[in-house]
Amino acid sequence: MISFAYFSIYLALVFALFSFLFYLYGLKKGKEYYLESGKRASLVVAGIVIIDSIIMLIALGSSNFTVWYVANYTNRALPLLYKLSAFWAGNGGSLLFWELTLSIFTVMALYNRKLKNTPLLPYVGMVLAVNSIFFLITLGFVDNPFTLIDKQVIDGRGLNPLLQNPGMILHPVTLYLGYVGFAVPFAYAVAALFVNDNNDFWIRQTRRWSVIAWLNLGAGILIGGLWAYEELGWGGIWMWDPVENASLFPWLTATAFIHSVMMQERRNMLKLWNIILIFMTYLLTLFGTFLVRSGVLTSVHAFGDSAIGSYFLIFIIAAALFSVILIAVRYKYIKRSSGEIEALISKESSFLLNNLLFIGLFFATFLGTIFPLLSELLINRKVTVGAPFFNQVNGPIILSLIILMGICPLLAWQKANKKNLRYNIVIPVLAGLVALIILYISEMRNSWALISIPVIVFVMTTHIIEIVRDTFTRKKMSGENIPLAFIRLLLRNRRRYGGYLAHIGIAVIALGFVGYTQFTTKKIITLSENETVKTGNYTFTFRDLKEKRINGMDIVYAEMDLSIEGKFIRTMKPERVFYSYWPDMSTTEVSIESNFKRDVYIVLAAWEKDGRATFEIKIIYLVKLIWTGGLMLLAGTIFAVWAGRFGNKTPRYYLRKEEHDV
Amino acid sequence: MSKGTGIYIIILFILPSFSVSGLTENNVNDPYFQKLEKDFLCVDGCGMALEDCSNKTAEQMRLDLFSFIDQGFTEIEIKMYMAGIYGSEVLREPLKSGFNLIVWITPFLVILAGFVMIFMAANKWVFSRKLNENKEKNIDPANNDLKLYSSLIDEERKKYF
Repeated sequence: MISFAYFSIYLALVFALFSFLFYLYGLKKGKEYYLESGKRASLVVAGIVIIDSIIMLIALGSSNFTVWYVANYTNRALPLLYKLSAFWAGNGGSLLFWELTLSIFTVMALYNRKLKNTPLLPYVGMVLAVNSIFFLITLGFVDNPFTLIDKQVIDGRGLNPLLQNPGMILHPVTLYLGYVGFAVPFAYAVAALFVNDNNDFWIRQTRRWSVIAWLNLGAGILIGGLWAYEELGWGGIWMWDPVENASLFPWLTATAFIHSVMMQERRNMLKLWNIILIFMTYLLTLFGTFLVRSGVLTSVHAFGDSAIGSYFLIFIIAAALFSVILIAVRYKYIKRSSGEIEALISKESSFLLNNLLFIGLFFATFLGTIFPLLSELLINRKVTVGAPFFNQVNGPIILSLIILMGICPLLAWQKANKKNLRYNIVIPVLAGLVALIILYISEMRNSWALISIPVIVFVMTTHIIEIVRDTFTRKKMSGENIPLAFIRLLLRNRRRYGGYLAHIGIAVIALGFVGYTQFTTKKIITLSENETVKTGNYTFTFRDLKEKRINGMDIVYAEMDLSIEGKFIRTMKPERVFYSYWPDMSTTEVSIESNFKRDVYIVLAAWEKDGRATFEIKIIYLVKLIWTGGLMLLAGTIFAVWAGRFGNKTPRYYLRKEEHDV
Repeated sequence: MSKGTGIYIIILFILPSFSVSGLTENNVNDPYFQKLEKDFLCVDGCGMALEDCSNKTAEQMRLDLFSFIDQGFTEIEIKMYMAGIYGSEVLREPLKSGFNLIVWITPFLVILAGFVMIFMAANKWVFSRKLNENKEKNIDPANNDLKLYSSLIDEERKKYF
């Protein structure tokens, strides 16, 4: 079975090549038969890769240590869920998972009935086949996960202890779904350029693909943040590490894209820009993988393998060159009949600014991330660029984006009525000012909090007032009661109100980050048994240091009583875990007591022979809002892409060519 | 703490902490020390900020950092001394001088250039549109009514989308 899987990778590669060649030949000869064969070859590729993935899961689950990958990433003591999640723990497995997702997405895209009989189909198929060919080459010739071991292995090496966390089950999967998801809109955009399709068909067909890929990428980033928060050693939720930044690059350009496509849908604008954005997003998903896999930059999340890195680099350069040449060749067709802005104060202008700021944010992050390489290349000195730099440079850009997020819903398409704008903005601005005054009276003197919290309040108020106002307008017009008017209002324009919920989610996340970055306090204390220490309203009593053994792990844990304002809350148990099969590494499992106001975060840092133990205690404010805002963002996005009866209603403020002709 | 393997683990895995490295609780809990800790990177290749790292190199760096604070050096002086000992890679924030200015200034220049381009393009579109509207007005007086009706319809339509 394993040997079949090993060789079937090459078989899949042959079929992917067939698929590409059938499309090419079919297009050249204009014969439907060959195009259909291309589609079927993609189906065979997907079938083979699905079977291979099932074989990999069986090998992992059954601890088949004749397979090098299974022996290298799992062992017998590992819980089944982690054995299975080792699928994406190493390079070979990750590539197989990428190819699995890509081949399934390819079949979904090609067999979409809306694409049937359109001239785009063969080009979409060709682009996706090229992607498949690349991943199958790396699988077959760099890191075949089904390689067998010639000697007998009794037990495997085990999964890296840092990866034994529920985050491991979800974080890589969501990230990959996001990364691979962007291959489909990219393929459509390339196809649209090939056939000189100058309208927004490709945009409409790929809107859901783009938004769902964006959603997965965002969810992956958030889950990664949660994982890093709980796993000591990764520097907290977000530390602007190169690998973290690599996942943010495509998310930023994709966020710009999902906003700017609305300009094309409604106003027939930014056609070229949208193509550039989706090309950039796709290339950045590859670049992110290159950064993670090549090890060219120092990162706390190291998965270096230079051989795979160089393959990715070659593919990225080839894809970038292809994209630039294609745009250059088709430039005059894209530019034809593009819409224009009618007024400086309009939703269109705010979208342009939104795109500018997102691209600015991307550029700042990108430059900061690659600057160590750049400096080494140009001045022969590696300059470190870390969180303090990114906070200083990106902070103002993010704040500007949040302000814009508050103003944008108040602006109308084409031309905003200045009188209405002034009228609508008064209450949100007042709400922001009230927040500022309250903060100041409460003796808040942190400048970041004094600036950003009023801005966040302004944004939330804008959105809430818009929803309330629209509900009352509907009630007045339809005679429905308020709850019914509210529900029907939301259901009949899911994109708008889903977007609003996502915006509120972003504002809540921003509020969480203000608390997390600005008000965290840290104390390191050493306590003897039954010794108590008081810090602020929090009292900690170290009761005992204990040890237990579970599944080949020796766990040393402390029992620490937490009381707040004299009231006992609970006994917290921070741990340090030692792995018998991974002797040179231990992990620190933090203990967290959480509510919406603050997290009490305790780390067992060290202990002495005389029974004393050292703890790192952090009080972290508002961190739960980051996860809550993330859930709101997810819910809003799902609501916005949910089809429903009125899901695809998009008004256009321009006439298509055929409408002109009529 | 239970006996047996537990003792073995404890003896074998006593971790470096401030109490064994020479720093006191007061040293490591000093807000100024904690603020400065954030500005440095552990230089042993782990990629972690000094504040998050607990390996031997990080402990030595903490000792050096505290000794500079103790000697009354300013923040800039401390950064210079640390860079002198551990190389410029130790600074998590590039100095705002020389070649490093590229990374500090370019993002804002790019945004500014983008803003100017957008403003110029939008202004050109709006200006040329107004010019055309004026021309149309001069040609056909009845057009004013048409514009009025069309703007009213637009206003109504925007209320619902």
